[in-house]
Amino acid sequence: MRISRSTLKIFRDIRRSRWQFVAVAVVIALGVAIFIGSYGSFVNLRSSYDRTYEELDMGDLWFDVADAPAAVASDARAVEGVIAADGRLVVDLPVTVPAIGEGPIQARLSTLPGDDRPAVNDVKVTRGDYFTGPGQVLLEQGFADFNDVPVGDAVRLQSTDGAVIELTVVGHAVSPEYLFVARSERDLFTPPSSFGVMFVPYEELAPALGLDERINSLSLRLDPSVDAQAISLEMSAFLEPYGLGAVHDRDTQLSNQLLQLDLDGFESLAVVFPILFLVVSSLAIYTLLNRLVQSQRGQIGVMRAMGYSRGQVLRHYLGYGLVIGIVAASAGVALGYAIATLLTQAYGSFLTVPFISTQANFGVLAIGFAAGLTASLIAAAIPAWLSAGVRPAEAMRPPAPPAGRHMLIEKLLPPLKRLPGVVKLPLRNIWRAPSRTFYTAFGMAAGVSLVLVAASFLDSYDRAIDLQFGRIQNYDARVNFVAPFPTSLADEADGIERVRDAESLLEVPVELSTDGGRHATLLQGLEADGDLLRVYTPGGDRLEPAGGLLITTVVANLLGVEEGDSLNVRAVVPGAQAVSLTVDGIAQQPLGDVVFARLDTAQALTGGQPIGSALLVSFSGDPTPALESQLYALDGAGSIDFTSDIRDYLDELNSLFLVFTGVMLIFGVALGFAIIFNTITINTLERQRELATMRTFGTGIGRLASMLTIENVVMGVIGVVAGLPIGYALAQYFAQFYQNDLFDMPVVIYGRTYGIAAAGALIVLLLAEIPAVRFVRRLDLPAVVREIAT
Amino acid sequence: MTDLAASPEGPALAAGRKVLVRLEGVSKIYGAGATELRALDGASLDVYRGEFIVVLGPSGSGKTTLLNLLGGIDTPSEGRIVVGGSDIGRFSDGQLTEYRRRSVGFVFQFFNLIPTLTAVENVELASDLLKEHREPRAVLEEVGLGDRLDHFPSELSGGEQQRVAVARALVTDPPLVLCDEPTGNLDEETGKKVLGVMRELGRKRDKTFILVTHNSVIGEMADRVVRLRDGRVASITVNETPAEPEEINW
Repeated sequence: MRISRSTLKIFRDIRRSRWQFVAVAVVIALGVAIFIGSYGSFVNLRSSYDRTYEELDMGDLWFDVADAPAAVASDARAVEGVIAADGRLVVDLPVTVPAIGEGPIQARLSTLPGDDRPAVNDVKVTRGDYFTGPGQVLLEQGFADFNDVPVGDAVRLQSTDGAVIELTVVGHAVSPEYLFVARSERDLFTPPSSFGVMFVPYEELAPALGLDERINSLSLRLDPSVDAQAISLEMSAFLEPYGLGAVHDRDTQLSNQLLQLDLDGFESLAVVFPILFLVVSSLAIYTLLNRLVQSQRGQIGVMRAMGYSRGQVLRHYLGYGLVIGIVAASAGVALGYAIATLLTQAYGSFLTVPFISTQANFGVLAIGFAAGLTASLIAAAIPAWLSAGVRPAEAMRPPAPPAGRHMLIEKLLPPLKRLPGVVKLPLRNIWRAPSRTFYTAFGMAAGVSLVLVAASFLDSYDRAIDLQFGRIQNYDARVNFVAPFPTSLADEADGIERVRDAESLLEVPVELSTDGGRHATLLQGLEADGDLLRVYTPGGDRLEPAGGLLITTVVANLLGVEEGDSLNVRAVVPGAQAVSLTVDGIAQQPLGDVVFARLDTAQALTGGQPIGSALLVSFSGDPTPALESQLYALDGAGSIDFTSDIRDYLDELNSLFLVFTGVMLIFGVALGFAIIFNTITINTLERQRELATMRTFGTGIGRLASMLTIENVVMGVIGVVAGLPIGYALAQYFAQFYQNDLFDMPVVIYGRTYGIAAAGALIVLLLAEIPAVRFVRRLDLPAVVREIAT
Repeated sequence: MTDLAASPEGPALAAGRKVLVRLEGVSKIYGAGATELRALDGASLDVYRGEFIVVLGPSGSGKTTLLNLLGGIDTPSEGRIVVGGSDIGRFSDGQLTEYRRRSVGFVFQFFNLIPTLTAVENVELASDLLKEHREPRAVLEEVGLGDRLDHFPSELSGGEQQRVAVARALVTDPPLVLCDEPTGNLDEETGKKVLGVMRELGRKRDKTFILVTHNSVIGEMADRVVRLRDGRVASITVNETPAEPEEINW
């Protein structure tokens, strides 16, 4: 089939200027790939979680009770709308895992039926087997992997009568309730070196704890059509006599809640970041096609004179956008799909999600393709419209040369007039062609700001970690106690060899309320004059609680309170009364949702006893088994969290965030490179006539290259200077997508990042000069002259 | 069509021929008030089918403006341009496009070929617009470029490029071909060749050629010479025995 000559012209024009079109197509393809890669991953992850929940019969409602007969599960099954009910024991106990060490770690032991699979919250056994007999335990896979505990190893725990029970690891398992393992809402980042989830046969654990036929946790699966809220209320009332504690639905189930927070941030970034890319890409295409139309005014005039209608000319120039859009969007779809699959698999295996969905989501692919194509067509629309409006008679006339004039600065500083031509000419050109200056500066600014946005994620994370572990958490270990201890224990800890300091900490779950709302959080009571847990203002000044509370910026925003305001504070313990406390200051807390008060204030909330719930310890040197044993020897010590372990764990936990951010950074750099390369190349191409003329006058390549470089560098510097604050503003905007109640990272771009981005952009600019200068060297002067009017 | 016998410009020449285009008091005015510029000022002219007109005049006399108005790529400020009984000055943009597509061919001083299309593709760019058109390769052979069909403009000499432009103008078989300084960018030898091609095709295919030039010598090969001065038709000279292009020298 013969294609029309106007269509052929599009392809030939593109081939003629292929590197500019490739650069622009790369930009669009990257935008599409980022969207499909990130949004596709989001959709894949969401469906992977959903599928895992579905396959493993994840519960819809959870009820914690102090002590209830196992028969309540049968009663629950009789409630209309309840498909399945399962009662179990869930307890946190110190256990010894010889593969880790002789000291105990804290384990969450959750029972499963020994002889059958549970009807609610089943597990997927990934290695080994489900229980086949007595004395067996299943380890949560993430814990087993982190600590290298193989199937067949032993786990020891103590029964209530003091007997040691040895269990054999029969398998590793993944649970829908623990896809994200966290000890509690207040203690999200628990390293698997000191905390793990284990599944034990009910028949094994209940007798060991003296809780035969008793349960403390009930979970239900519901018919999707029923009102979950109503059943929750009905069951709550039913369980009230058994010491009803927390009630959760899926939205507040900790693992799911954390995954959801993660997904929400992911989703927003997956939409907004690609939009930024596509907007910048559109502007790059607009610049390219606008200049193409300007350079083809003569051709447009000829086409119109031949009898091509406005509509045909409009469609012709839209055709460039269409071709770029189709090619780039197709490439972007393929690349994006590959990225989505890889990211999903990486993330899924990191979180040990047993059922991963990586099927092509045609909706996402189609939206990505359409977005790439639309961005191209929108960008092409204005130049195409302008081309169609060119009056043929005007198009035939060569455009009037832009007015040459002295620069304002020349008038202000007359000596500048005496600058050598090689400097003065490029400076005047910048002045003479403001649109070119604008496009070049814009290209540079866009490149720099994209890099800064991506880099801000890394810098902000680094600053948050530095703030949390370098300034706020000034302790090396935190010893958690199974029950409140007298604060005099801190003196005993002080006496341990290598321990430099020990301070008591009392953590109290509290509910804060004002007229504006209420918020459940954890209050940390700090020793007066203590130095192991510090609190800082967002500005970096140290804060000390007086008689009131120090709240975080997140809590302050949630409740709409400021320093000096009063808050009602009620400890979430039986019989506690609310008291009014003054906000002593607003603190920056990167990780976790907590508020601070003096130790005695916290003690007053829980009855006024001089107690603590954890010891903060600083010591010299690295943690050693000997030190660990001595700390465990403190009366009631249940588990020890070493700060270095938590920090490593956080890095690992965030490794995918960092990989994702790294990918964004690479894409940002690639986009910046493409835009800058494109701008500089077009700058040279559109001036080939002028350059050819200068060469015919005998201007040397070196001189021309110097003039082009001076001109581009000056325009580039203008762009870089504009791009730095734009990048910071965009980073501030993007921060809202990864900040939430639990992660409040300050938005930071380090000075060195600004420096690297600016220097990188200028280096790219200089690299882009190489093909431009080569182009000038290879200019076919007779050909340029022959084509002078085309 | 108007009967040429009534034409004031050349009853003898007009005998048996028909008016293709009639200009009646056509002006083109740019600007207004003190800055008003009359590029063409009340020009009247009948153009007959099959004749070869050379328009002469100094720079700024309105030659190109006249050509643009005749070609429908510009519109008059005053007066009428009658083609087939219709005033193209009142045509809509769509009608003008249709007029240019079917009735006019253009040849420009700087050839204005599309650099990314070969010779034959440049001609096909025009022929694509109409279902009925002449065979582009045949037209290129007619202008002596049968062996240069697949060459790009940058691979052709100036004369060859201009002959491609002539072929492009003729491929849609328009009755009127407008040439703006077609030899202005060519040496004498090449210029004569191009003019020869135009003259021959004009006669063979009964085309009207209007050629605008600074070069008064070219007027020797015209059927009529129209001289413009300050936007006005200063004189119209009928050439009873037009010279052949190879006979003239500049």
